Amino acid sequence: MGANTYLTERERGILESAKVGIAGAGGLGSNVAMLLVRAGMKKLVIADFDTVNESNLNRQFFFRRQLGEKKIDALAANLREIEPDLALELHDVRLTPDNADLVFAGCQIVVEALDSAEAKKMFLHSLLPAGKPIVSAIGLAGWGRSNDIRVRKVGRNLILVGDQMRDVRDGFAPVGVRVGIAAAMQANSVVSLLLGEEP
Amino acid sequence: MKVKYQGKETETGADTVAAFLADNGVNVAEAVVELDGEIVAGDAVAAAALHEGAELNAFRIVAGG
Repeated sequence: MGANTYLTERERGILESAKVGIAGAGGLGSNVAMLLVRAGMKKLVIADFDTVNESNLNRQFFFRRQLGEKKIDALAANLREIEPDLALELHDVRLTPDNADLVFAGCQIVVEALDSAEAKKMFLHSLLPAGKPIVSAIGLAGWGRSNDIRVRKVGRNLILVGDQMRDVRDGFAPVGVRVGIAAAMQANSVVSLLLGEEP
Repeated sequence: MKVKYQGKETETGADTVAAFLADNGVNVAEAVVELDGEIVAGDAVAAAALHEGAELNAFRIVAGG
């Protein structure tokens, strides 16, 4: 029995057998991973090169005792606290145009959960031409204005979450209350796509 | 010609996507551009022609995660 006992056998089967990639294990990625495991997913490919630091604790799915640990290792441990029976593929790498589609080659859907605008742009331009669904979050900093965060389908295979406006470079802080909304909308889009519904 | 930009009908004299977006203050290097339901890849924006009735959207890529 998976973590989510509310699902039908069919739904549980789809979510347990699907493999989804998560690019970045920060404010977006760590929370997306947590929500997908709670939803009943078991196969995740997660890539991040960073370590947990104190400034992450305002929004990321880590704990004070994990400061200094590699994010992918700390996240894997936390996900296994929810569901021990997981098939996690962890990549301690900085994603580049040369490795991005190799890292996520076996995934049905990839979640873009990177932080800098340059990394997001690189990732989208590298992976979108391959045609698999990419669930990206752009514009989630600050607080308030919950209703400005939307899900849009762009082109054939981009699901874009966010307000596309509030930029941390313009002084909007990355805060858990709003990053969490975007992460939940990304996870919700993934689950919906896998179950054959509108994201 | 008339095009639909970000969901609103707009009159423009621009004949390329790049010229139209520049007129509207969009830095295409910092945006995802969608023309008639297809994403226009970074390098292709410069060459993409605009046509009567085109549906164009640009989504700014901002930082945060």
